[in-house]
Amino acid sequence: MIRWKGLAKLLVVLSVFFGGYLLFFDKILTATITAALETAADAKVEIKETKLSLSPFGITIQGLKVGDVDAPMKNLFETDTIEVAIDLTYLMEGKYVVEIMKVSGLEFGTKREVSGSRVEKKEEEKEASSKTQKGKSEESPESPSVRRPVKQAKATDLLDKVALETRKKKDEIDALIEQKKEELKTLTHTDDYTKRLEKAKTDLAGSMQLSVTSVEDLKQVEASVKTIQAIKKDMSDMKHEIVDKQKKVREDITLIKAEIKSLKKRGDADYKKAMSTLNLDTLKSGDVSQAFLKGPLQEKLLKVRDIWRRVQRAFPSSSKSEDESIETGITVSFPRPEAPVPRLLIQTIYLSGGNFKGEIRSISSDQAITGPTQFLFDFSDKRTRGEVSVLGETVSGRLVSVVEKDSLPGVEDGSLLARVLKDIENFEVLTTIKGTLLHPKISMSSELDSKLKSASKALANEALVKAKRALKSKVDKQVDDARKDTLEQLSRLDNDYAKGLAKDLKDVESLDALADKGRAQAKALIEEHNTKFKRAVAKAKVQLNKEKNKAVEEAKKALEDTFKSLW
Amino acid sequence: MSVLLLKFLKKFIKVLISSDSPPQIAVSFALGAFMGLTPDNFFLSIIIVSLLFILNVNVSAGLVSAGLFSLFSSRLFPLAHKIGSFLLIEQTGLFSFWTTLYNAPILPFLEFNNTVMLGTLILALLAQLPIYFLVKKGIIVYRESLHEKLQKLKIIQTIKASGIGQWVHKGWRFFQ
Repeated sequence: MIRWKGLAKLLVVLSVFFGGYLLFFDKILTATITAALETAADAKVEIKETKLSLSPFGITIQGLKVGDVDAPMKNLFETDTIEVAIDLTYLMEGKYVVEIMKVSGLEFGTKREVSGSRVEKKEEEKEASSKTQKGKSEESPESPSVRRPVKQAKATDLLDKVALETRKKKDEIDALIEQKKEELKTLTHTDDYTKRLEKAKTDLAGSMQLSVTSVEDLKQVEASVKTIQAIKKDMSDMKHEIVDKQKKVREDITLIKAEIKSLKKRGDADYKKAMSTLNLDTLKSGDVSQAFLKGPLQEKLLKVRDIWRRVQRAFPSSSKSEDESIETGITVSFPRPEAPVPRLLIQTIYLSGGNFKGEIRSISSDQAITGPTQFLFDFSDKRTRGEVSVLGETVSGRLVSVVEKDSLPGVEDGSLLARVLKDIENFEVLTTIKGTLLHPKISMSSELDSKLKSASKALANEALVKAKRALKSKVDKQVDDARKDTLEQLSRLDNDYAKGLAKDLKDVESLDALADKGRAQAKALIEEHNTKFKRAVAKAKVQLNKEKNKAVEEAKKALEDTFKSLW
Repeated sequence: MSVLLLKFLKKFIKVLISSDSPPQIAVSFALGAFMGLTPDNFFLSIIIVSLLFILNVNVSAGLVSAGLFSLFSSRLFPLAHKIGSFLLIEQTGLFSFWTTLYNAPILPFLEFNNTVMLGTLILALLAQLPIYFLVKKGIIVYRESLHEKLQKLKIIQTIKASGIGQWVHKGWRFFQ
């Protein structure tokens, strides 16, 4: 009944199939692991080589580098070798049970030659947004960077970053001067004054050319006098206008001067504000470790936690959903004599890196089945020692690290901290981790903290005094500069308008005086001619009387002669 | 797939008149039906294909049968689900039996703990003997009387002579 030839054919087919599969398995496996890790880490993943071993069944990954999504030119971590021993019987059931995983050469934050970002565009967008945020942080008075202790030590830099009241006031005064300029432009009308003065001058010149030879001329002189009086009235009006404008300009200048005086008050306010942000409490208390080391560690822990959560999501606790569907049916789970096994279970991971050895026990996609995960890190090298354990969601640990002062972020030459650390090469930091995986609470303290406490207090006070002085001089300089600049502007305003108006007034007054002179001349001329006329009239009267008397005498004599002749 | 099926049909018709005995063909047809009726299961498929190759049965008949039955197997899923639910969930007395099977080696790969899978497995098992006897009887009848009668039919002769059969085959491929 058995067909031996058929059996041989089947075996050949199966051998070819599995042979080919094994031949390309390494590449398939490398691509699969790379893709899965890239999805989990959201960054580029590189694997140098992947090897499959059949006895014991497992895989070896060499040269794994996982990029850091937040720092594209750094690796989140890299390993030399990862050896994974997988339980084949569970694998046939679609479950990934890793009995032992050995990770050697584990290092965090190593440098990359090429960007570790998965999508260049994403990176550009991030850079753009970070630049915007950076810009904002520089502009914003409440920016967190300003509050960093090291930045706080640079008091004069702080003044440049804080929105200054002095600057605001200076801008306000500049705007006020511009506004007043515009207002005064509409008030002065210099061209109008010039025209009026020119006309008055011409009229006056015409009226001053007086000569009286007849009675008609006298009438012309009287008309000139009337013109001069009209000019005088116009000059008087102009005088009143100019005086009013001068009053207005004086008021404006007084107002601007008062504003300039207030610059000093604003400078004081700036100084107070800058001093209030110049809080050196953190340094005074000596919590250097807390201030400088907590953030980076917390960020690193959260990144690793996020990656693990993504891996867990990729391996849901059940391979098939228990969706009651006629198409897919219901998958019923029956109890096993041994403990149930989740889809992904790593029984033990042995980690070793440059400065630590670690062990992670029972890490799975379903911790309810496998119980709590236990992390045991033995930092037995010179730099770090201690233990961290994670039981379920609860994390607890205590690490003692030797920190070199050069590795402290933000220790700039000449800064307060640099001065404090100048005689210290390195110091020990105690890190305590508590809380849950979701919200780990990290507190750090160091022997340096206590050592620094008194020293840093004195230095902080010294720095504070220096900072106060620097702030004061900077604020004063800024106030002086602002005052000088605004006073110059005010002086120009005074030259342009107040002095211009005074000149106009002088012109009007000289013309008025000229008009007075013209009027006096005309009056004198009229008086002189009046006198002359009176004298001529009197002389004429006398002559006429003489002529009359003579004529009367002659008439009398003729009449007498006639009468005599008659008589 | 359809072209492949037509080729298998052609081969199957050849098989019907081949030197293979009716029980050989019937057994392979029943095994193919088992594979076709059950939902995709790698382990089951490997077993049946291996049996088809190892046993002295007609492989073509088995593959044709698997293809034919897989076409309408999904129609049986609601019934299979009911059967599976009845046996796996409702019959609490059987719980220990299923637990034993579930903990036995290899058997869990059959995924019998799924209601549809268990239902189709039972339906396929129940259908084995009827399919075997029906196919066996059918082949005998075909070989003894039907084959000659069919060959004498004018339409078959015309189709053979005009090559319409080839034309229909090409047209079928075009529309695919």
